[in-house]
Amino acid sequence: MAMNSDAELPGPGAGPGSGGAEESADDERLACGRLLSEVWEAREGGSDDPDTDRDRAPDRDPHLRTCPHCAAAVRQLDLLGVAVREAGGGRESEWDAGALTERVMDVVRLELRPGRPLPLGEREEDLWVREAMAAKALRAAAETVPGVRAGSCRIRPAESGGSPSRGPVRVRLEVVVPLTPRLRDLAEEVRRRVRGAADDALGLPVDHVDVHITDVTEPAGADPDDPAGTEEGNQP
Amino acid sequence: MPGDDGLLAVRAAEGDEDAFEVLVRRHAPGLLRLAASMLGSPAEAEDAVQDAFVSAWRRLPEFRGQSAFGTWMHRIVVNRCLNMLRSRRPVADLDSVPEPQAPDHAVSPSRAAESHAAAVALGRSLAELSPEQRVCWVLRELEGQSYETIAETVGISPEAARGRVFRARRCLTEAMTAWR
Amino acid sequence: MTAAATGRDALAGTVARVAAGVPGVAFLRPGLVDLFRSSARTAPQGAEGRTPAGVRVSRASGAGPWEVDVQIVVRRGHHALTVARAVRDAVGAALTESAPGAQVTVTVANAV
Repeated sequence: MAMNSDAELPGPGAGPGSGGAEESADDERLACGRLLSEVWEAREGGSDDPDTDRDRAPDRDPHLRTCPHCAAAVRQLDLLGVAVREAGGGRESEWDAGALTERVMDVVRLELRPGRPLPLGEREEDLWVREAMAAKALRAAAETVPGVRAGSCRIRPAESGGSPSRGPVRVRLEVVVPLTPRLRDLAEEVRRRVRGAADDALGLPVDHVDVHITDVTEPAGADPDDPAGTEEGNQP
Repeated sequence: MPGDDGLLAVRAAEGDEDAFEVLVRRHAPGLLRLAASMLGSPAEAEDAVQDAFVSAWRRLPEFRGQSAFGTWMHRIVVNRCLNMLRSRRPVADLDSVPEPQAPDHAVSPSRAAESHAAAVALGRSLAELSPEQRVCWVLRELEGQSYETIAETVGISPEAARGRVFRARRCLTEAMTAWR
Repeated sequence: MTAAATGRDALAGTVARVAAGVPGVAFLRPGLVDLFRSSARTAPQGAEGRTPAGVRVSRASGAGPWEVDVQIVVRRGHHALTVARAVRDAVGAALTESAPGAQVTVTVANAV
């Protein structure tokens, strides 16, 4: 019998939550008395995981193995599966994901979210940089540290007053770093490079850089996405 | 640029369009296959997936990490396909059903012809399903998803998902039996 | 078109041309309608109707100083502040006769 009796299709007089006449009319009672839905469900292994070994299912219920009506119903389902696989064999078409990506990005670039204006230069000047652009530069700087991956980068005025404020900003950066006993040194190096980029690339006055390590990855060499990390991850 | 979807999604939510581009490139192939199975048309599949990504870009700031980006995109694409199927006019003439792709010519010609015929028959049968049945069936049969997952994706109960898959199978088995 | 509008559009055109020619400027930022809502300055309705992309020119009153707002995209490898200053100075110089005392705001929107 099917394992999840709650989730059975409602047959005539069957379990809780039975739907209306429509659902029971869609089901079919085979000549042996079994419901088609149950037979097919058992064919899927009785569990909700279609990857379960299908050969195990008949062993749970000897009736399924010996009944010709159930066997015919199972064969119907198998034929469908064969057709699906045959049809799928011809479907290895080369999707031009590149062209689609270009089209998507064309629209995206017309709808950028530049973020708040942040100050460039001295207080008395009237020069600004958008948060999203500054964040890109600061993340890139953080990622010059081998193995470091930058995530969220939020930049806010450190002081209140002025709208927008001309005062120095506070940077909050989240990073994922390779596992190392020198986490504090690593964070400090990230901080140093972020400050450096704020000066050398932008001209953004920075009051404070908070580096939050949100996750650690395997040390260098174990991560195929980060071959450059092999240089530094395991130093004592 | 980090490899992890989570980091990329956070950055994209904060306005990093380069991070978003990496996500698009990474997820497009799988989503295109999914949409093509649901819609039966590569051209419509491209439209559906393109619109889904643009919609995702606009909604990313609200999304921030509630689920995996891939799962979220999957749900957007499935629901977009469902709506597209629902707004199609009923297929009165079976010849207007888009033909599936021709099979790989590395296979033997007779084998290839049979595969193609099977694909055509299956394609026509799929087109006769209701949108709801077709979507649930594709998720179950081609993507191997559990009824719980299908239910969450489409916004119905697992029992309803089970029912739709069953009804779809009934229609398809009858159609394929007739074809053979 | 009113004389005021003509004057404003001519100014905007000058600003756009000068700014785009500054070394380090890739181009002026297109599609700016949303940005104006977050800008410190507010523009009269329709002020940006015929202005070139990346430039907004307005004035609070008929005789007051012009307010010039330039949004630029810089080339990678160029220092944002340096380029922004150069744009401000170039635009200011170009407007000394047509718009003396103009207040020039420069925002770096992106880098390519």
